[in-house]
Amino acid sequence: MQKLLSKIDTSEIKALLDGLIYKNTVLVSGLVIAPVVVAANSYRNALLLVIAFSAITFITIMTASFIPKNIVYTIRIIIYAVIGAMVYLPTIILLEQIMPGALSDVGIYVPLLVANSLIVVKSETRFLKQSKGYMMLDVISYIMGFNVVILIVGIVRDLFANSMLMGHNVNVSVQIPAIAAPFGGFILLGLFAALYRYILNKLKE
Amino acid sequence: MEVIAKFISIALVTVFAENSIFARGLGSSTMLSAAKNKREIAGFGISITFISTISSALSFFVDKLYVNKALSYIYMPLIYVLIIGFVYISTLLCLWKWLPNLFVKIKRYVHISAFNCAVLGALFINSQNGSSFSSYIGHGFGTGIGFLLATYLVSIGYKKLNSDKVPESFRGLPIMLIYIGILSLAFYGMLGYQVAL
Repeated sequence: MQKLLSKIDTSEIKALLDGLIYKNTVLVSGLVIAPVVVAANSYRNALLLVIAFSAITFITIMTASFIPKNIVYTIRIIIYAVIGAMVYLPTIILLEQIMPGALSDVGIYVPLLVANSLIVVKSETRFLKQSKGYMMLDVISYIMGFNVVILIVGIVRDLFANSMLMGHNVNVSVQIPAIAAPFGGFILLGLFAALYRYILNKLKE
Repeated sequence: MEVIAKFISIALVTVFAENSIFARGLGSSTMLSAAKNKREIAGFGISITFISTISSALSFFVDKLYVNKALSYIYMPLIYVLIIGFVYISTLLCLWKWLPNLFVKIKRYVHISAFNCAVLGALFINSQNGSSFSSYIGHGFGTGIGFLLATYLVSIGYKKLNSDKVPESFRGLPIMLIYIGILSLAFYGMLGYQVAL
């Protein structure tokens, strides 16, 4: 293990935290915004999207890494989306088992994950340029970056719009039902992104 | 005449009342990237409009075959991806053969115009709400024009929202998201009710 760690440069370790911290998938890079601002209006929806996004994105990008590079990009991008759509099949069957009936609450936002920005854009510009082991860790970092943000957004919106905290009723004196609407999602995400940047800058100082 | 009226009314509703970005957030990431370069907005918008309109037209015939069957929601993403892929490849081949200059200009971003949530979302929304051929292509066309409108509106504020006058923590993406939220609120006012997911 020590041998392996000594081979990895510290800048490489830092780069592995890009997706989660320094270039957070949603708050810094501005990727995969739609499910966060529209569908993640409750903790349950957010949790469902976390499972679906993690499974579809991870398996698709890892499988895509085996596609020969000599195939032109025009064709490769279609193959990526087709792989995403094929991974979607077992994923929603699994989701139906884990969270029965929950899929209808997020509507089209789960099937849309088959062509999310990490698969369509980031795979080509970042992930598939790396070695397989490093790429796997980097993809996990970007997935975790999305998961943490969507869960926090889901919990906050659930609390202020539905007076629920992780599935339990709570007494909240301030009710903001508009926070569950798409415009509320955009504004809340903007505020989170600003707060996140402020914290990052303070830590850098 | 009725067909044209239906096409126009659905396209207008999709552009202004149920805008893919402001009402559903579809294609937000793509839009944020497109809004940075004003010269590419028109090309981007036209590409998305073309691909979503043609894909919607093709999906009408596929939906008629499959949409009523149980479990269609499981394999629809695969079918829609293949439809978009077919339109994307055909468009590129046609451009390469007959309009090579345009092909060179748009090949840098045409793949993002085809495979994004706005185009794929248009096909899913059509399968849920669309009834006739004119409503399908009206919604597909409106999705592209709505995307173009949203990108243009965001690009207007882009330079100012990235200036030094904006506090550093808010500069760039955070204030852009808040700006889109305010625009979305204005569009929501026209809609007057919650969009069905």
